[in-house]
Amino acid sequence: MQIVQRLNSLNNNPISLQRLAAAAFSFLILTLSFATQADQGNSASAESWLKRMGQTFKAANYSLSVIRVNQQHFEPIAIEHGIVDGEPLVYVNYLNGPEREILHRGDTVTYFQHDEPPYSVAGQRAVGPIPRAFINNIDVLKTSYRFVLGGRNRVMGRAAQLIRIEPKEADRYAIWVWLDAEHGMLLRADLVAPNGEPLEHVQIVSMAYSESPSPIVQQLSQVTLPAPVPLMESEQVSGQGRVRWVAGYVPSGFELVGRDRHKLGATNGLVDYQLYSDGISSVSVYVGSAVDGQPGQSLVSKGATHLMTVAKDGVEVAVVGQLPPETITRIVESVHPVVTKNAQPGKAP
Amino acid sequence: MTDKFERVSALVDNQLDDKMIDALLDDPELQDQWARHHAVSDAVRGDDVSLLSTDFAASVSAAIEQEPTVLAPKPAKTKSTVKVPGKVVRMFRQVGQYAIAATVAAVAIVGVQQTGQESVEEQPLPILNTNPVVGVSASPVSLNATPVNNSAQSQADARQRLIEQRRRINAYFQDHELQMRIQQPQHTARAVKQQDADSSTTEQPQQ
Repeated sequence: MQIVQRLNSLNNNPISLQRLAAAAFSFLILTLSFATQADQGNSASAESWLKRMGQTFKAANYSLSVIRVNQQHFEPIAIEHGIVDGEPLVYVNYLNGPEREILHRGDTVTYFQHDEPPYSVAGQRAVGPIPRAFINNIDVLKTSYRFVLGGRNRVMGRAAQLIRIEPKEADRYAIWVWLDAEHGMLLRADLVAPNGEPLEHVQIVSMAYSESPSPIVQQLSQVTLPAPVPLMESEQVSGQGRVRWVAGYVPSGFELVGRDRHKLGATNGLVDYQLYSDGISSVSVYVGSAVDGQPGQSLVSKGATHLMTVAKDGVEVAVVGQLPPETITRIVESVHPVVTKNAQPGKAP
Repeated sequence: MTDKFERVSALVDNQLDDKMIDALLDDPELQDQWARHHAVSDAVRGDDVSLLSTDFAASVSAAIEQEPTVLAPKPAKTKSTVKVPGKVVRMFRQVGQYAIAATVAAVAIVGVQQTGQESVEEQPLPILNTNPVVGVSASPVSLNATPVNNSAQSQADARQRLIEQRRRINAYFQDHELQMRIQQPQHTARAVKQQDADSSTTEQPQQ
């Protein structure tokens, strides 16, 4: 009210009116920012940090050297990103071991491996060690995760802000990310178990931004790529005339991404397959006939990825995913057969 | 002399008095005699007899003290501990303590619980990059356990089964990686399901 009175009295003096308006505006902004900081857990600002991180992945041309470490091995990865003719291009190269490269150009992802001819698939997928949700849309994580602002650390010689992406329930792993305090890009990400123990690390060890796309990117933008493999509509393939297997329990927020029936590896038999994902972790469910008819179960780990197989009644159920072993066990135990409308009653494959 | 020794044997038989005991405590010859008497009677009775005199024990300990100390390297518990920064190696090291063969520990898998049989893995089979995980109902491959059935054929069978199991486990991991790439991503799959009116599934994803 005081401001209004003062405004009225200054009708004839436009300059100080502006100054007053500026003061009022900045006061308003200040109040609003105080209100934002009072948010529980500062989740709004944590989310804005993560959104900014997504932006840094999509904008500009850059080259990254990334190291991924888990219990098993130590994997250096080179990532090139550029925008050529308005089309983003990402090239991921695994530097150790047999050759493995991934090229994501526009809407196609092409995989190059030393032991098979390259193949392409359409669509946006996780490319390389950085979860797709970080780059595309962090909102998919909001159903199952909370964003918590942490403290400041020094990572890669720079001041970094820690953001903890914590699951709302302890049935999956958390991701802790360190973002550059000044520009917001990802410096380090850890996959963390519910007890706080880090299971996998991804760290960016060098990065270079440039005005124009690097030579590799420019070269790759011209390369002819194989046409995308047409993916079978998974609904049509599975459940025809057979018992359908269903995972009764998946952790909340996990959605069915795909389902089909295919051959496991080169020498093994057919399996019913389902893939679930919540934006960060993926979990696969396999159901096939047991190899030798003997009952048994086993749990095998590769870093943060666990595989549990249970063989019973001639059927082997296997679940693989980046989830704590307890969750994997629950999923395995919940897998059960369902007779579909079109199916003839019969035993599992 | 013999008279003195006769008195020792009499003392052994509880037949003499305090004066004899004092004499015994003073005279080393008598002490030796006393020790020999008791050794003999123990041997006759069938008890274990230590035939080493105290002199021998003393000379052995003196000899040991004179030997130069040899700094023997500690036997390595297991050579298969992978050096990984951070705390991520903790789980593996606990299990490694029970490994006998260094080459085996890296490839040991938590064994499939076969009824009545546990196979002992001793060959360095191709490494699966897998790790046993604690806290599972399946028992770990125990290298101390002897197989129930000792025949060579069943051991070979068990080994073959283990190879098959490992190959299958590898196949699962690789297929998982592959499927994460080629399965249709969420937004596309959802679009497909929206178009597909006729569906018999009971577990539609939430839309």
